[in-house]
Amino acid sequence: MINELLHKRLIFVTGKGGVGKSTLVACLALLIHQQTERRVLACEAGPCSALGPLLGLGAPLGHAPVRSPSGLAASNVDPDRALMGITQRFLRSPTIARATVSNPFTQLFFKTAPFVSELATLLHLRQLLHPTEGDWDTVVFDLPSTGHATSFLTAPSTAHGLLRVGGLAQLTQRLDEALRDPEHTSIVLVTRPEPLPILETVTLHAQLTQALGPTLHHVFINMVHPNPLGDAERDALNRLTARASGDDLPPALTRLIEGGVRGVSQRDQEQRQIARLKAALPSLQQTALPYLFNARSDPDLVTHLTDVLTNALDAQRRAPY
Amino acid sequence: MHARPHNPIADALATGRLMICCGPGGVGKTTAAAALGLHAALSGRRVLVMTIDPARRLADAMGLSAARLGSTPSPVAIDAVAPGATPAPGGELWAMMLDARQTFEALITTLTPDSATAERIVQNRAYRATTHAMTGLQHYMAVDRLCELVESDRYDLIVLDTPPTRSALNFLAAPGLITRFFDRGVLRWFTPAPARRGLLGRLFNPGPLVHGLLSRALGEQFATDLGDFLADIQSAAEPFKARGQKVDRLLRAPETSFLIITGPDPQRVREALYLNDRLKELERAATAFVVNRVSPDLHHESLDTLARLSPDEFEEAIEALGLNGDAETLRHLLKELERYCDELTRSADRDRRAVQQLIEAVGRHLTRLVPSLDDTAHPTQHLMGIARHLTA
Repeated sequence: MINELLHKRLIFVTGKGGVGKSTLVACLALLIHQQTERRVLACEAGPCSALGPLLGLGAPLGHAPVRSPSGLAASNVDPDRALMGITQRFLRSPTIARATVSNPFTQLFFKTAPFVSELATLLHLRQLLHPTEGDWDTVVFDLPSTGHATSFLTAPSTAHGLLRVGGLAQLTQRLDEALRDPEHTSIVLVTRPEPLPILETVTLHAQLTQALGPTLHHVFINMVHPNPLGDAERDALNRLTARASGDDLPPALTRLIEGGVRGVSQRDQEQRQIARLKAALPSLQQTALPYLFNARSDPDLVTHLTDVLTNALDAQRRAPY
Repeated sequence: MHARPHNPIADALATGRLMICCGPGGVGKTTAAAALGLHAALSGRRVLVMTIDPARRLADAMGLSAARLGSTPSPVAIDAVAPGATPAPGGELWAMMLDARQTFEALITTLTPDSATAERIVQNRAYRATTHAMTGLQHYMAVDRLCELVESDRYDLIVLDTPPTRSALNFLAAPGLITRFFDRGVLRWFTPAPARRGLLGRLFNPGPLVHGLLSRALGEQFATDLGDFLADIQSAAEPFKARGQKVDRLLRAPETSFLIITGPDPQRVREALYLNDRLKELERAATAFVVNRVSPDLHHESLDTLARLSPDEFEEAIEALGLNGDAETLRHLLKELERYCDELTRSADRDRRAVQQLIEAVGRHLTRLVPSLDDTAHPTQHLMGIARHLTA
């Protein structure tokens, strides 16, 4: 149920590249922002900001949160600055922390070193949600695509296995526990109704469940084409195509029929893929998001899809069982 | 013989040694890489297509089972992936998937002075527990293996399919990063090696200091594991640096081309332009831009010309077909079809503007559009179709 997502602290969104992960991050954050009193932050990490343009922000998104025209706060986590924050807390001296982290040699090491930036990013998210020191109740985070998602989310347990004792070891352990706590954390998968993304979703679901337990709550199937024709029109189209060969018809009608036939066949193929996913993962909540022909811009797309989510939420509230 | 219009992709396939395909996810990049490899193989070159991604898509495209696609090249039967084509003599097609960890361990064995050191590195806890997440090293491994394969002269052309992440171009910076990493000065900072003789030696050996800081931040155990790992790997520093420089030369060579493969929608076009900027920062230039899966109407003709059907024309057509009894349903069908085609037109228009923006930014001569081909057709038909559009 979508309403379960409204009350999580940390929501991770992942899926195969190109399925619309960032779009869903923006939509879910906006939905929670509109539906609850919670202070919500939409978050990403990485050099090419996708959230900025989606939220209609002209300037590139930076480490410090900013508000979009829709009132939603967003930030692009800079792992270096996150690391600096964490190091400061442990070395207890800003000067030494700065000397350690901003040192060019350390910089070089952290760029090649294992899991440091993943861990720093996750610890930073946790800090954002800190009951007294943090400013946010909910963070929706855009995880890297399929291949890297599992190693990103298991960075705390990897680190804990290495460190074993000490303050940071304890912190990584608590972080790992929070990521495995289904009351606190949700992992949301995004896919498209096409063979390869569906297949990868099933694989990723198995990997994540094995690595982190039951924090997987939802799969959103994005860009599902609406049914172009109702049943009666579909029958009529079949009768029409059965009778007509291309030459008898005005060219404009031929084009319209071609478009209709293509749309119907695409719709059927997509529905078969959706059924396949349902059969493979029967316990996972599925929500289909429509392909929107009319979106004029990315922020427009986010607004429309958030409305779709709101409607789905209202429908669930009216019929909770 | 009249001059053919210049096609940078066909040129790179005919004479290049290495073609690097990058781009955002979900645009059919791996399939395009396979199609490019096939085209070069058909023209008589010995081609290896290499992927870093989990390899199902490449295996599918090549008609191999995923299990057969491993970290050593597997032969692909050209007549099976291109039925009916007439390959020029000498052509070969191979496919492989890169396994960064395996490559790294093989390299360690080659480069370290003795097998005991190699064994220590591979067994090191810090290395073992984290190797899957060592993205820096993975990038480096990818290019190192690539370099080795190019140098082997076993293949005339290698087509590399890079992972669809926004950081895909990091591997271009990897050789430089690794070269600096293995600079003795850097590693000295992290290894608690015994202090050098004399007061000056101790003063200028920062290892113990950094080790102390790391211990405080990360815990004694980890700092020690890490220190051991770095001390051991330092013994291979010189060969590693030499290789890093060689790899860097390969990536800058004129026989190396960069293809940015993208989709027609505004988000993907934006990512393509971002990758282009990153390439420029790294002092490379994109050889060409491929816009894949362009809707056929967008490719061939303007949708603005889609004429409205007048009600009279429609009634006549129905009558001519003898479907008068159905007229009411068919009128409704017509309305639905018009609405649907309107929607298609709108999304095609949006894509057309995005593609136009790409063309204006990078130049028409560098941009190739590939129409959305029928994926449900036999995969190999599909491959040939893409290859034709890319190289025509």
